[in-house]
Formats: sequence, structure tokens, C-alpha cells
Amino acid sequence: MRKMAILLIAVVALMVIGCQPPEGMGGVSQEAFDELKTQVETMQTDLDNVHASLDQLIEDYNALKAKVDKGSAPVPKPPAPSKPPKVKVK
Amino acid sequence: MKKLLGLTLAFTALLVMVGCGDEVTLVAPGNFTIAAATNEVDVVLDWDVVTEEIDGYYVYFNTAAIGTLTTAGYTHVDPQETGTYYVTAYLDEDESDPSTTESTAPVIADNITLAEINATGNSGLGWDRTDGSATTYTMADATNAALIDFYFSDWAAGYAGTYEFYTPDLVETDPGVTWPMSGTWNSCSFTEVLPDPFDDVTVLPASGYYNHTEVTATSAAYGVYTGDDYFGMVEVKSINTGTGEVEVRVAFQPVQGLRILEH
Repeated sequence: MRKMAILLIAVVALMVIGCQPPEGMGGVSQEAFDELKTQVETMQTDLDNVHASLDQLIEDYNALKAKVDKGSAPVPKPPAPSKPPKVKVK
Repeated sequence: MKKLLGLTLAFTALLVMVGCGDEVTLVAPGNFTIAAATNEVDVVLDWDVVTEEIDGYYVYFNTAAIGTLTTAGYTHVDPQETGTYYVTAYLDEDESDPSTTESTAPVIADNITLAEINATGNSGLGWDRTDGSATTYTMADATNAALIDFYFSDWAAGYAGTYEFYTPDLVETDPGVTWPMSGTWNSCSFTEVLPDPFDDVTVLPASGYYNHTEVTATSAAYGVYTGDDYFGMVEVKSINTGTGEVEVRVAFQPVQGLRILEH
């Protein structure tokens, strides 16, 4: 009888262990996980692009600021109106 | 004998009285005029024929006799200088009073300030055809149009551009003009900088006149030819880009069509 009880306990223990979800999945399916992973990768790519754009913007701003600060880049004059044709009168 | 002596004395006195009669008074030539010949350098003198008995006429230039004529009319060929003319009529040793005096001397006006059309001051300059005097005028008032012979502009808004003298009939297309304007403007033309300074110019060139000319250097002189066939000259004495002004000296030949500007 005692052996039967031990065997029963062992069987229940094995069942409990066997019904545990795979380690690290947190109860999420592999498909959902893969989809989520894809979304995260897309977001990462978008973020990288935003960073690159921001860096370029900052670079352009700094370059323009440096020119203005040094005064080395005068604002170009608008083209002067063309003078009337020189006509020989006499 | 006494009677004969008395008659002799009376006859002698009569002869003396007749001999001492009034001198013949010659009439001065009338309607004396001068004009430029078609070559623009000869001066043509004309006057009415004196109908009384005369032997001819004397022509004077700057008080010196330059011609003795038997008929009315004379051409002073290429005098290269300006001055006064008059004529007299003569008979034997007698000479009439002079005719009226006419002059080819240019009229000089100095220290005239012209402002670029967008600067403060008058931009236009005109010569009086009767006395040769020079007056500045604003280009903003089209009622001055008939009085203005040329104007000063940089052909742009503001007055920081390249300065030039312009014929007035271009003013309504001048980009510096921002006000409504409509008038009957004169025409004018200019030489480039003359080879001689203002005071050394004797005769202006026969050709090479343009509707505008650049004002770049001080002490530069330019010939001016107006639309109604008068010649003048402009000397740029100073250029002030800060105020948009030039100071000029001008000369005007009051004889229409005469290119002699010696002074």
C-alpha cells in the first residue's frame, strides 16, 4: 500500500512537471513571438533612420551656424536689374 | 575894293560852312544773328542788308576785325574758340555803330549736386535755352519733364549700384522708380569719358553719343547732346556713394547745334 502511494505521488509529480510550459516563452506562442520580434526589428530600423536624419540635421545646422558666426558666408546679393541697352544716338 | 573884300569873305565863309557840314551817319546792320553751320563747328553770321550807301561791312570776333565784306553774311570757319561777334557798316573812313553782339561762349555752372534717383535730392538737370543756366529738378514730378535734359541713377532700387547719367526718356522704366510716373520726357545722349579734362575741351566729338554713360571717375568730363540739338558738357567733381550724390560742373553751348565748348 505504501508502495502504491509512492507510485501515485510519483505519477502525479511527473504529470505536473510534464504540463509546465516551455521555459522562457512566458506562455506566448512561437508565432506571436516571431511576429513581435519582427515588429521590434522594424521599429529598430525606423529608429535608426530617425537617428540618422537627426544627425544629418544637426550637422547641417552646426555647419550653417559656424558660417554665420564667422561671418564668412555673406548673404548673396540679389542680381542687379539689367541696365537698358546702350544705344548709339549720334 | 571894300565891297570885293566883303564878297570874298562871305564866299569863303560859305565854303567853310558847307565843308564843315554834319558827318554822314551810317546805319548799324540790323537783325544780326549767329548760328551753327551744318558741320557743327563753323559759325554762320547773318544780318539785314544796309540800304543806305555803304562800301561794305566789317566783322568782329572778340573785338578784333576778322573780315571785310561787300555783301551781308559771313561764315567763321572752324574758329576752335568761342567769343562775341558783331558787325559794322563802313563808307570810306566812316564806320557805323556795331550791330547787336552775339556770343558763342558756353555758360558754365559749378558746384551742382545731383542725387541718385533714390537718394535725397534732385536727380535731374536741365539747361535754360535762353540764358544757358542750369537747374536741378526732382524726377518724382513729371511736370518737370520738359525742363530736364538728363538725370542721375544706378538703375536699381537704393543708391549703392553703378552710377550713370541717363536720358530722361528712360526714367519710367528705371527700377529705382517706385512711384507712379507718366510724362513726356526729353531725350539726351552722352559721350564716354572725354580724352581731355573739362577745361581743355575745345570742340566736342561729332559722334559717339549714347543714351547713358557710366560715371566712375572724378575729374572725368562727358559730352552731352540734347534731343533738340544743343551741346553741353558735364564734369564729375566728386562721387559720394554714402549719400548717393555726385557734384558736377556743367557747360552749355547756347547756340543750337554748335559743338564748340572752348571756355
